[in-house]
Amino acid sequence: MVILITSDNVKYVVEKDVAELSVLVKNMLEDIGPSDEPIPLHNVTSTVFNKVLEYCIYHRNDPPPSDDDEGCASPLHKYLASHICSEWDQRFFDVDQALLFDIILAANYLDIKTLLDDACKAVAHLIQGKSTEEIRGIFNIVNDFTPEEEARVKKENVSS
Amino acid sequence: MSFLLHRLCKVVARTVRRAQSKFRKEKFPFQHLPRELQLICFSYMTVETLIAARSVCSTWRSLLPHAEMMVHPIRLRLYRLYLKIIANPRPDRQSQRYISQFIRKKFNREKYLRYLTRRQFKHHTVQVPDEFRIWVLEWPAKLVINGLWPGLPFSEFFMSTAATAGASLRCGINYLARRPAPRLELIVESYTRRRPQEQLLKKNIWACMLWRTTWSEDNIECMFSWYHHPSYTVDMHSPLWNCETWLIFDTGSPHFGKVVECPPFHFSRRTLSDVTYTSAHPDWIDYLERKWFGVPPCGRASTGTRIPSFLVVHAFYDWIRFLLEPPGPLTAYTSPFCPRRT
Repeated sequence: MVILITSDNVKYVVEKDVAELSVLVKNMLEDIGPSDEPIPLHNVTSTVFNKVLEYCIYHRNDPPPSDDDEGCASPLHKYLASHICSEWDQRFFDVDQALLFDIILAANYLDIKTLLDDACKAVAHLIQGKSTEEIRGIFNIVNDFTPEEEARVKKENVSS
Repeated sequence: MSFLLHRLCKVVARTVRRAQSKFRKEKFPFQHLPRELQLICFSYMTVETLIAARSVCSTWRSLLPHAEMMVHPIRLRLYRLYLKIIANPRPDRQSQRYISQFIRKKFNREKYLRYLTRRQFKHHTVQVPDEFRIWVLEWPAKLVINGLWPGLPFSEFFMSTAATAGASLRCGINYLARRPAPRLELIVESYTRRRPQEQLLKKNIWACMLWRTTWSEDNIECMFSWYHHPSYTVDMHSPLWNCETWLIFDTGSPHFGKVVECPPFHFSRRTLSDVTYTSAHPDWIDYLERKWFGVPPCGRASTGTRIPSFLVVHAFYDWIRFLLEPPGPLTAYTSPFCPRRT
Protein backbone atom coordinates (compact mmCIF):
# COMPACT_ATOMS: atom_id res chain seq x y z
CA MET A 1 0.00 0.00 0.00
CA VAL A 2 1.17 3.47 -0.86
CA ILE A 3 -0.11 6.72 0.57
CA LEU A 4 -0.42 9.62 -1.87
CA ILE A 5 -1.39 13.19 -0.99
CA THR A 6 -2.75 15.49 -3.65
CA SER A 7 -2.21 19.22 -3.72
CA ASP A 8 -5.46 19.94 -1.89
CA ASN A 9 -4.41 17.65 0.98
CA VAL A 10 -6.57 14.65 0.20
CA LYS A 11 -5.04 11.35 1.22
CA TYR A 12 -5.28 8.32 -1.01
CA VAL A 13 -4.29 4.83 -0.03
CA VAL A 14 -3.48 3.00 -3.22
CA GLU A 15 -2.25 -0.49 -3.91
CA LYS A 16 1.34 -0.64 -4.94
CA ASP A 17 0.94 -2.10 -8.42
CA VAL A 18 -1.65 0.56 -9.27
CA ALA A 19 0.51 3.39 -8.01
CA GLU A 20 3.51 2.09 -9.90
CA LEU A 21 1.83 2.65 -13.23
CA SER A 22 3.02 6.18 -12.66
CA VAL A 23 6.74 6.33 -13.35
CA LEU A 24 7.07 9.35 -11.08
CA VAL A 25 5.63 7.50 -8.08
CA LYS A 26 7.61 4.39 -8.93
CA ASN A 27 10.88 6.29 -8.96
CA MET A 28 10.01 8.01 -5.71
CA LEU A 29 9.19 4.68 -4.08
CA GLU A 30 12.52 3.31 -5.19
CA ASP A 31 14.27 6.35 -3.78
CA ILE A 32 12.71 6.36 -0.34
CA GLY A 33 12.73 2.60 0.01
CA PRO A 34 10.23 0.69 2.13
CA SER A 35 8.56 3.22 4.41
CA ASP A 36 5.06 4.44 5.11
CA GLU A 37 5.73 8.05 4.37
CA PRO A 38 3.07 9.67 2.22
CA ILE A 39 4.13 10.85 -1.22
CA PRO A 40 3.05 14.40 -2.06
CA LEU A 41 1.78 15.10 -5.57
CA HIS A 42 2.06 18.85 -5.90
CA ASN A 43 0.55 19.44 -9.30
CA VAL A 44 -2.52 17.24 -9.07
CA THR A 45 -5.83 18.11 -7.44
CA SER A 46 -8.13 15.48 -6.03
CA THR A 47 -10.81 15.85 -8.72
CA VAL A 48 -8.30 15.05 -11.42
CA PHE A 49 -6.58 12.41 -9.37
CA ASN A 50 -9.88 10.58 -8.91
CA LYS A 51 -10.09 10.28 -12.65
CA VAL A 52 -6.48 9.20 -13.04
CA LEU A 53 -6.90 6.61 -10.33
CA GLU A 54 -9.99 5.26 -12.01
CA TYR A 55 -7.99 4.78 -15.20
CA CYS A 56 -5.06 3.17 -13.43
CA ILE A 57 -7.26 0.71 -11.57
CA TYR A 58 -9.02 -0.31 -14.74
CA HIS A 59 -5.79 -0.74 -16.67
CA ARG A 60 -3.67 -2.25 -13.90
CA ASN A 61 -3.43 -5.63 -15.59
CA ASP A 62 -2.62 -4.38 -19.06
CA PRO A 63 0.64 -5.59 -20.51
CA PRO A 64 3.22 -2.82 -20.37
CA PRO A 65 3.70 -0.98 -23.65
CA SER A 66 6.59 -2.32 -25.68
CA ASP A 67 9.49 0.07 -25.76
CA ASP A 68 9.94 0.76 -29.43
CA ASP A 69 12.52 3.35 -30.25
CA GLU A 70 10.22 4.93 -32.75
CA GLY A 71 6.56 4.95 -31.93
CA CYS A 72 6.16 4.38 -35.65
CA ALA A 73 6.69 0.67 -35.33
CA SER A 74 3.59 0.27 -33.20
CA PRO A 75 0.66 -1.39 -34.92
CA LEU A 76 -1.70 0.55 -37.07
CA HIS A 77 -4.90 -0.09 -35.17
CA LYS A 78 -3.61 2.02 -32.31
CA TYR A 79 -3.63 5.00 -34.61
CA LEU A 80 -6.56 4.22 -36.81
CA ALA A 81 -9.09 7.00 -36.97
CA SER A 82 -7.78 7.98 -33.55
CA HIS A 83 -9.80 5.13 -32.17
CA ILE A 84 -9.85 4.97 -28.48
CA CYS A 85 -9.62 1.27 -27.99
CA SER A 86 -12.39 0.09 -25.75
CA GLU A 87 -15.86 1.25 -24.92
CA TRP A 88 -14.81 1.86 -21.36
CA ASP A 89 -12.09 4.24 -22.51
CA GLN A 90 -14.57 6.06 -24.66
CA ARG A 91 -16.85 6.64 -21.72
CA PHE A 92 -13.91 7.56 -19.55
CA PHE A 93 -12.81 10.35 -21.87
CA ASP A 94 -16.30 11.62 -22.42
CA VAL A 95 -15.75 14.43 -19.92
CA ASP A 96 -15.80 18.16 -20.24
CA GLN A 97 -12.84 19.67 -21.97
CA ALA A 98 -11.35 21.47 -18.99
CA LEU A 99 -11.09 18.20 -17.11
CA LEU A 100 -9.59 16.48 -20.14
CA PHE A 101 -6.98 19.21 -20.24
CA ASP A 102 -6.15 18.66 -16.58
CA ILE A 103 -5.95 14.91 -17.12
CA ILE A 104 -3.35 15.42 -19.82
CA LEU A 105 -1.29 17.67 -17.58
CA ALA A 106 -1.59 15.25 -14.67
CA ALA A 107 -0.65 12.28 -16.83
CA ASN A 108 2.36 14.17 -18.04
CA TYR A 109 3.36 15.10 -14.50
CA LEU A 110 2.82 11.60 -13.14
CA ASP A 111 4.45 10.15 -16.25
CA ILE A 112 1.76 7.62 -17.14
CA LYS A 113 2.45 7.05 -20.79
CA THR A 114 -0.65 5.08 -21.73
CA LEU A 115 -2.99 7.59 -20.13
CA LEU A 116 -1.17 10.47 -21.79
CA ASP A 117 -1.41 8.80 -25.19
CA ASP A 118 -5.05 7.92 -24.77
CA ALA A 119 -5.95 11.42 -23.62
CA CYS A 120 -4.13 12.97 -26.55
CA LYS A 121 -5.99 10.58 -28.83
CA ALA A 122 -9.21 11.81 -27.26
CA VAL A 123 -8.19 15.38 -28.07
CA ALA A 124 -7.41 14.44 -31.66
CA HIS A 125 -10.76 12.69 -31.72
CA LEU A 126 -12.51 15.94 -30.77
CA ILE A 127 -11.54 17.57 -34.05
CA GLN A 128 -11.60 14.54 -36.27
CA GLY A 129 -13.25 15.22 -39.59
CA LYS A 130 -13.83 18.87 -38.74
CA SER A 131 -13.11 21.74 -41.04
CA THR A 132 -10.63 24.48 -40.28
CA GLU A 133 -13.35 26.85 -39.11
CA GLU A 134 -14.84 24.24 -36.81
CA ILE A 135 -11.43 23.46 -35.30
CA ARG A 136 -10.95 27.14 -34.53
CA GLY A 137 -14.33 27.13 -32.86
CA ILE A 138 -13.66 24.04 -30.79
CA PHE A 139 -10.30 25.15 -29.43
CA ASN A 140 -11.15 28.82 -29.38
CA ILE A 141 -8.21 29.71 -31.58
CA VAL A 142 -7.95 33.09 -33.23
CA ASN A 143 -7.14 33.14 -36.91
CA ASP A 144 -3.90 35.13 -36.96
CA PHE A 145 -3.01 34.90 -40.63
CA THR A 146 -2.42 38.13 -42.51
CA PRO A 147 -4.79 38.65 -45.44
CA GLU A 148 -2.14 37.56 -47.97
CA GLU A 149 -1.36 34.42 -46.02
CA GLU A 150 -5.05 33.79 -45.59
CA ALA A 151 -5.56 33.95 -49.34
CA ARG A 152 -2.72 31.54 -49.91
CA VAL A 153 -4.02 29.14 -47.29
CA LYS A 154 -7.49 29.29 -48.77
CA LYS A 155 -6.14 28.51 -52.19
CA GLU A 156 -4.40 25.43 -50.84
CA ASN A 157 -7.48 24.25 -49.12
CA VAL A 158 -9.65 24.16 -52.23
CA SER A 159 -9.18 20.47 -52.59
CA SER A 160 -10.22 19.38 -49.12
CA MET B 1 -45.87 47.53 -23.83
CA SER B 2 -43.61 47.51 -26.81
CA PHE B 3 -41.00 49.29 -24.71
CA LEU B 4 -41.12 46.53 -22.14
CA LEU B 5 -40.84 43.92 -24.85
CA HIS B 6 -37.84 45.71 -26.29
CA ARG B 7 -36.24 45.81 -22.85
CA LEU B 8 -36.89 42.12 -22.36
CA CYS B 9 -35.31 41.28 -25.70
CA LYS B 10 -32.23 43.25 -24.79
CA VAL B 11 -31.90 41.49 -21.45
CA VAL B 12 -32.31 38.09 -23.05
CA ALA B 13 -29.75 38.92 -25.70
CA ARG B 14 -27.29 40.05 -23.05
CA THR B 15 -27.66 36.93 -20.95
CA VAL B 16 -27.28 34.76 -24.00
CA ARG B 17 -24.10 36.60 -24.94
CA ARG B 18 -22.74 36.24 -21.43
CA ALA B 19 -23.55 32.56 -21.36
CA GLN B 20 -21.81 32.19 -24.67
CA SER B 21 -18.68 33.96 -23.53
CA LYS B 22 -18.61 31.83 -20.42
CA PHE B 23 -18.99 28.75 -22.55
CA ARG B 24 -16.16 29.95 -24.71
CA LYS B 25 -13.89 30.28 -21.70
CA GLU B 26 -14.49 26.68 -20.76
CA LYS B 27 -13.42 25.40 -24.12
CA PHE B 28 -10.38 23.24 -24.39
CA PRO B 29 -7.42 25.56 -23.76
CA PHE B 30 -5.22 23.92 -26.35
CA GLN B 31 -2.74 26.78 -26.56
CA HIS B 32 -1.96 26.44 -22.88
CA LEU B 33 -0.77 22.88 -23.23
CA PRO B 34 3.00 22.59 -23.23
CA ARG B 35 4.36 22.32 -26.75
CA GLU B 36 5.50 18.73 -26.46
CA LEU B 37 2.01 17.67 -25.41
CA GLN B 38 0.51 19.61 -28.29
CA LEU B 39 2.79 17.66 -30.58
CA ILE B 40 1.56 14.37 -29.14
CA CYS B 41 -2.01 15.47 -29.87
CA PHE B 42 -1.00 16.33 -33.43
CA SER B 43 0.57 12.96 -33.91
CA TYR B 44 -2.76 11.20 -33.48
CA MET B 45 -4.62 13.27 -36.03
CA THR B 46 -6.00 11.75 -39.20
CA VAL B 47 -4.74 12.83 -42.60
CA GLU B 48 -7.79 15.00 -43.19
CA THR B 49 -7.38 16.69 -39.84
CA LEU B 50 -3.68 17.27 -40.42
CA ILE B 51 -4.58 18.99 -43.66
CA ALA B 52 -7.22 21.13 -41.99
CA ALA B 53 -4.85 21.88 -39.11
CA ARG B 54 -2.36 23.48 -41.48
CA SER B 55 -4.68 26.38 -42.04
CA VAL B 56 -5.95 26.92 -38.51
CA CYS B 57 -3.40 29.47 -37.35
CA SER B 58 0.24 30.34 -37.84
CA THR B 59 1.36 28.59 -34.65
CA TRP B 60 -0.18 25.31 -35.72
CA ARG B 61 1.27 25.68 -39.15
CA SER B 62 4.76 26.07 -37.77
CA LEU B 63 4.26 23.26 -35.26
CA LEU B 64 3.09 20.66 -37.75
CA PRO B 65 6.48 19.89 -39.32
CA HIS B 66 7.78 19.04 -35.85
CA ALA B 67 4.93 16.62 -35.26
CA GLU B 68 5.67 14.76 -38.47
CA MET B 69 8.22 12.54 -36.80
CA MET B 70 5.53 11.13 -34.54
CA VAL B 71 2.74 10.68 -37.04
CA HIS B 72 2.09 7.14 -38.23
CA PRO B 73 4.36 6.54 -41.26
CA ILE B 74 1.53 5.71 -43.64
CA ARG B 75 -0.37 8.83 -42.68
CA LEU B 76 2.80 10.81 -43.03
CA ARG B 77 3.30 9.53 -46.56
CA LEU B 78 -0.24 10.46 -47.52
CA TYR B 79 0.13 13.88 -45.90
CA ARG B 80 3.41 14.46 -47.75
CA LEU B 81 1.79 13.36 -50.98
CA TYR B 82 -0.90 15.97 -50.35
CA LEU B 83 1.75 18.62 -49.74
CA LYS B 84 3.54 17.67 -52.94
CA ILE B 85 0.32 17.86 -54.88
CA ILE B 86 -0.61 21.30 -53.67
CA ALA B 87 2.94 22.54 -54.15
CA ASN B 88 2.45 22.33 -57.90
CA PRO B 89 -1.27 22.36 -58.52
CA ARG B 90 -2.57 21.80 -62.02
CA PRO B 91 -6.05 23.21 -62.12
CA ASP B 92 -8.27 21.37 -64.53
CA ARG B 93 -11.69 22.98 -64.69
CA GLN B 94 -13.37 20.22 -66.62
CA SER B 95 -12.43 17.51 -64.16
CA GLN B 96 -13.22 19.68 -61.16
CA ARG B 97 -16.70 20.30 -62.49
CA TYR B 98 -17.26 16.62 -63.11
CA ILE B 99 -16.04 15.70 -59.65
CA SER B 100 -18.06 18.29 -57.79
CA GLN B 101 -21.13 17.22 -59.72
CA PHE B 102 -20.87 13.47 -59.38
CA ILE B 103 -19.00 12.75 -56.20
CA ARG B 104 -21.09 11.02 -53.56
CA LYS B 105 -21.62 13.33 -50.64
CA LYS B 106 -22.59 10.61 -48.23
CA PHE B 107 -20.00 7.99 -48.83
CA ASN B 108 -19.55 5.71 -45.85
CA ARG B 109 -15.89 4.89 -45.91
CA GLU B 110 -15.86 2.37 -43.09
CA LYS B 111 -18.78 0.47 -44.54
CA TYR B 112 -17.02 0.32 -47.86
CA LEU B 113 -13.99 -1.30 -46.27
CA ARG B 114 -16.12 -3.72 -44.30
CA TYR B 115 -17.86 -4.76 -47.49
CA LEU B 116 -14.59 -5.51 -49.21
CA THR B 117 -13.72 -8.40 -46.96
CA ARG B 118 -17.20 -9.30 -45.86
CA ARG B 119 -17.28 -12.84 -47.18
CA GLN B 120 -15.38 -15.83 -45.88
CA PHE B 121 -12.31 -16.83 -47.79
CA LYS B 122 -11.56 -20.49 -47.33
CA HIS B 123 -7.92 -21.41 -46.89
CA HIS B 124 -6.88 -17.82 -47.43
CA THR B 125 -6.26 -14.89 -45.20
CA VAL B 126 -7.51 -11.79 -46.88
CA GLN B 127 -6.77 -8.39 -45.50
CA VAL B 128 -7.11 -4.84 -46.68
CA PRO B 129 -3.59 -3.45 -47.09
CA ASP B 130 -2.91 -0.72 -44.55
CA GLU B 131 -2.01 1.91 -47.14
CA PHE B 132 -5.25 1.33 -48.98
CA ARG B 133 -7.27 1.33 -45.78
CA ILE B 134 -5.93 4.65 -44.58
CA TRP B 135 -6.32 6.16 -48.01
CA VAL B 136 -9.97 5.18 -48.15
CA LEU B 137 -10.63 6.34 -44.61
CA GLU B 138 -8.78 9.61 -44.56
CA TRP B 139 -7.92 10.98 -47.95
CA PRO B 140 -9.74 14.26 -48.74
CA ALA B 141 -12.46 13.15 -51.10
CA LYS B 142 -12.33 16.03 -53.51
CA LEU B 143 -8.67 15.62 -54.26
CA VAL B 144 -9.13 12.83 -56.76
CA ILE B 145 -5.98 11.40 -58.29
CA ASN B 146 -6.53 10.11 -61.81
CA GLY B 147 -10.16 9.31 -61.21
CA LEU B 148 -9.29 6.88 -58.46
CA TRP B 149 -11.90 7.35 -55.80
CA PRO B 150 -14.59 4.96 -54.60
CA GLY B 151 -17.05 7.83 -54.19
CA LEU B 152 -17.10 8.63 -57.90
CA PRO B 153 -19.55 6.87 -60.20
CA PHE B 154 -18.77 3.42 -61.58
CA SER B 155 -18.54 4.49 -65.16
CA GLU B 156 -16.12 5.19 -67.89
CA PHE B 157 -14.43 8.54 -68.22
CA PHE B 158 -13.68 9.89 -71.63
CA MET B 159 -11.16 12.58 -71.17
CA SER B 160 -9.70 14.66 -73.89
CA THR B 161 -6.29 13.69 -72.72
CA ALA B 162 -4.86 10.43 -71.58
CA ALA B 163 -1.98 11.96 -69.74
CA THR B 164 -2.23 11.04 -66.14
CA ALA B 165 0.27 13.50 -64.78
CA GLY B 166 -1.53 15.90 -62.52
CA ALA B 167 -4.89 14.90 -63.87
CA SER B 168 -7.90 14.48 -61.65
CA LEU B 169 -9.48 12.14 -64.14
CA ARG B 170 -8.20 9.99 -66.97
CA CYS B 171 -9.53 7.58 -69.54
CA GLY B 172 -10.75 4.42 -67.95
CA ILE B 173 -13.28 2.63 -65.83
CA ASN B 174 -13.37 3.28 -62.14
CA TYR B 175 -13.73 -0.24 -60.76
CA LEU B 176 -13.07 1.10 -57.29
CA ALA B 177 -16.61 2.38 -57.28
CA ARG B 178 -18.32 -0.89 -58.07
CA ARG B 179 -21.38 -1.20 -55.85
CA PRO B 180 -21.62 -2.14 -53.09
CA ALA B 181 -17.86 -2.64 -53.13
CA PRO B 182 -15.26 -3.96 -55.53
CA ARG B 183 -15.29 -7.69 -55.92
CA LEU B 184 -12.30 -9.70 -54.87
CA GLU B 185 -11.38 -12.26 -57.47
CA LEU B 186 -9.20 -15.31 -57.45
CA ILE B 187 -6.24 -15.04 -59.76
CA VAL B 188 -3.38 -17.37 -60.46
CA GLU B 189 0.03 -16.40 -59.36
CA SER B 190 2.67 -18.34 -61.23
CA TYR B 191 6.26 -18.26 -60.23
CA THR B 192 9.38 -20.23 -60.87
CA ARG B 193 10.95 -22.06 -58.02
CA ARG B 194 14.70 -22.20 -58.43
CA ARG B 195 15.48 -24.81 -55.82
CA PRO B 196 15.74 -27.71 -55.39
CA GLN B 197 14.91 -28.02 -59.04
CA GLU B 198 13.49 -25.51 -61.44
CA GLN B 199 9.77 -25.78 -61.40
CA LEU B 200 6.83 -23.65 -62.38
CA LEU B 201 4.46 -23.32 -59.47
CA LYS B 202 0.98 -21.91 -59.48
CA LYS B 203 -1.03 -20.60 -56.63
CA ASN B 204 -4.44 -19.00 -56.30
CA ILE B 205 -4.52 -15.65 -54.61
CA TRP B 206 -7.20 -13.05 -53.97
CA ALA B 207 -6.86 -9.71 -55.62
CA CYS B 208 -9.10 -6.91 -56.63
CA MET B 209 -9.31 -5.00 -59.87
CA LEU B 210 -9.48 -1.30 -59.12
CA TRP B 211 -9.05 0.37 -62.46
CA ARG B 212 -9.11 -0.47 -66.12
CA THR B 213 -7.52 1.96 -68.50
CA THR B 214 -9.24 2.00 -71.81
CA TRP B 215 -7.82 2.62 -75.15
CA SER B 216 -8.23 5.88 -76.93
CA GLU B 217 -6.51 7.62 -79.76
CA ASP B 218 -5.26 10.19 -77.35
CA ASN B 219 -3.29 7.50 -75.66
CA ILE B 220 -1.37 7.01 -78.82
CA GLU B 221 -0.69 10.67 -79.20
CA CYS B 222 0.38 10.77 -75.67
CA MET B 223 2.78 7.97 -76.24
CA PHE B 224 4.24 9.81 -79.20
CA SER B 225 5.11 12.68 -77.06
CA TRP B 226 6.78 10.41 -74.62
CA TYR B 227 9.03 8.70 -77.10
CA HIS B 228 9.40 11.76 -79.28
CA HIS B 229 9.48 9.60 -82.31
CA PRO B 230 6.55 9.75 -84.72
CA SER B 231 7.05 6.31 -86.20
CA TYR B 232 7.15 4.47 -82.93
CA THR B 233 4.75 1.55 -83.14
CA VAL B 234 2.08 1.02 -80.63
CA ASP B 235 2.75 -2.15 -78.79
CA MET B 236 -0.59 -3.47 -77.75
CA HIS B 237 0.99 -6.16 -75.68
CA SER B 238 2.91 -3.76 -73.60
CA PRO B 239 1.29 -3.05 -70.27
CA LEU B 240 2.12 0.58 -70.69
CA TRP B 241 -1.14 1.97 -71.94
CA ASN B 242 -3.93 -0.49 -71.97
CA CYS B 243 -3.96 -2.03 -68.59
CA GLU B 244 -5.79 -3.21 -65.55
CA THR B 245 -4.76 -2.28 -62.09
CA TRP B 246 -4.92 -4.96 -59.44
CA LEU B 247 -4.31 -4.70 -55.75
CA ILE B 248 -3.36 -7.92 -54.01
CA PHE B 249 -5.32 -8.63 -50.87
CA ASP B 250 -4.04 -12.09 -50.07
CA THR B 251 -1.63 -12.12 -47.15
CA GLY B 252 -0.49 -15.58 -48.18
CA SER B 253 1.20 -14.12 -51.23
CA PRO B 254 4.66 -12.57 -50.98
CA HIS B 255 3.23 -9.76 -53.05
CA PHE B 256 0.55 -8.74 -50.56
CA GLY B 257 -0.29 -5.06 -50.85
CA LYS B 258 1.43 -4.56 -54.19
CA VAL B 259 -0.26 -2.89 -57.10
CA VAL B 260 0.10 -4.66 -60.40
CA GLU B 261 -0.57 -3.11 -63.76
CA CYS B 262 -0.80 -5.41 -66.72
CA PRO B 263 -2.68 -5.79 -69.97
CA PRO B 264 -6.18 -7.22 -69.73
CA PHE B 265 -5.48 -10.28 -71.82
CA HIS B 266 -3.17 -11.47 -69.10
CA PHE B 267 -6.20 -11.82 -67.00
CA SER B 268 -8.34 -13.56 -69.51
CA ARG B 269 -6.16 -16.37 -68.33
CA ARG B 270 -6.10 -14.74 -64.93
CA THR B 271 -2.45 -15.37 -64.46
CA LEU B 272 0.15 -13.18 -62.92
CA SER B 273 3.68 -14.14 -63.75
CA ASP B 274 7.09 -13.25 -62.42
CA VAL B 275 7.41 -10.77 -65.23
CA THR B 276 4.44 -8.71 -64.17
CA TYR B 277 5.66 -8.63 -60.62
CA THR B 278 8.94 -7.06 -61.55
CA SER B 279 6.95 -4.05 -62.67
CA ALA B 280 4.65 -4.02 -59.67
CA HIS B 281 4.31 -0.93 -57.54
CA PRO B 282 5.39 -1.73 -53.99
CA ASP B 283 2.21 -0.34 -52.48
CA TRP B 284 -0.87 1.75 -53.02
CA ILE B 285 0.58 5.13 -52.06
CA ASP B 286 3.55 4.62 -54.31
CA TYR B 287 1.15 3.84 -57.12
CA LEU B 288 -0.86 7.02 -56.51
CA GLU B 289 2.27 9.09 -56.39
CA ARG B 290 3.66 7.73 -59.63
CA LYS B 291 0.32 8.27 -61.29
CA TRP B 292 0.04 11.85 -60.19
CA PHE B 293 3.58 12.80 -61.01
CA GLY B 294 3.35 11.11 -64.35
CA VAL B 295 6.37 8.91 -64.24
CA PRO B 296 6.21 7.04 -67.52
CA PRO B 297 4.37 4.90 -68.37
CA CYS B 298 1.77 6.50 -66.20
CA GLY B 299 1.86 9.86 -67.85
CA ARG B 300 3.83 12.03 -70.12
CA ALA B 301 5.46 14.59 -67.90
CA SER B 302 8.24 13.52 -65.67
CA THR B 303 8.66 15.79 -62.70
CA GLY B 304 12.04 14.73 -61.53
CA THR B 305 10.85 11.58 -59.83
CA ARG B 306 13.27 8.79 -60.51
CA ILE B 307 12.17 6.55 -63.34
CA PRO B 308 12.12 2.95 -62.14
CA SER B 309 14.74 0.86 -63.84
CA PHE B 310 12.37 -1.59 -65.44
CA LEU B 311 10.89 1.23 -67.49
CA VAL B 312 14.27 2.33 -68.67
CA VAL B 313 14.89 -1.22 -69.80
CA HIS B 314 11.55 -1.19 -71.63
CA ALA B 315 12.38 2.01 -73.43
CA PHE B 316 15.86 0.84 -74.27
CA TYR B 317 14.54 -2.43 -75.61
CA ASP B 318 12.03 -0.63 -77.79
CA TRP B 319 14.72 1.63 -79.10
CA ILE B 320 17.00 -1.27 -80.05
CA ARG B 321 14.13 -3.00 -81.76
CA PHE B 322 13.38 0.16 -83.66
CA LEU B 323 16.97 0.29 -84.90
CA LEU B 324 16.94 -3.34 -86.01
CA GLU B 325 13.61 -3.37 -87.74
CA PRO B 326 12.20 0.05 -88.49
CA PRO B 327 8.44 -0.20 -88.12
CA GLY B 328 6.01 0.25 -90.96
CA PRO B 329 2.90 2.39 -90.71
CA LEU B 330 0.71 2.18 -87.65
CA THR B 331 -0.98 -1.17 -87.93
CA ALA B 332 -1.37 -2.06 -84.33
CA TYR B 333 -4.79 -0.46 -84.29
CA THR B 334 -6.29 -3.68 -85.52
CA SER B 335 -4.96 -5.77 -82.72
CA PRO B 336 -7.60 -8.26 -81.63
CA PHE B 337 -6.96 -7.40 -78.02
CA CYS B 338 -7.66 -3.76 -78.31
CA PRO B 339 -10.19 -3.04 -80.99
CA ARG B 340 -10.29 0.53 -82.10
CA ARG B 341 -12.99 2.50 -80.45
CA THR B 342 -15.32 4.19 -82.85
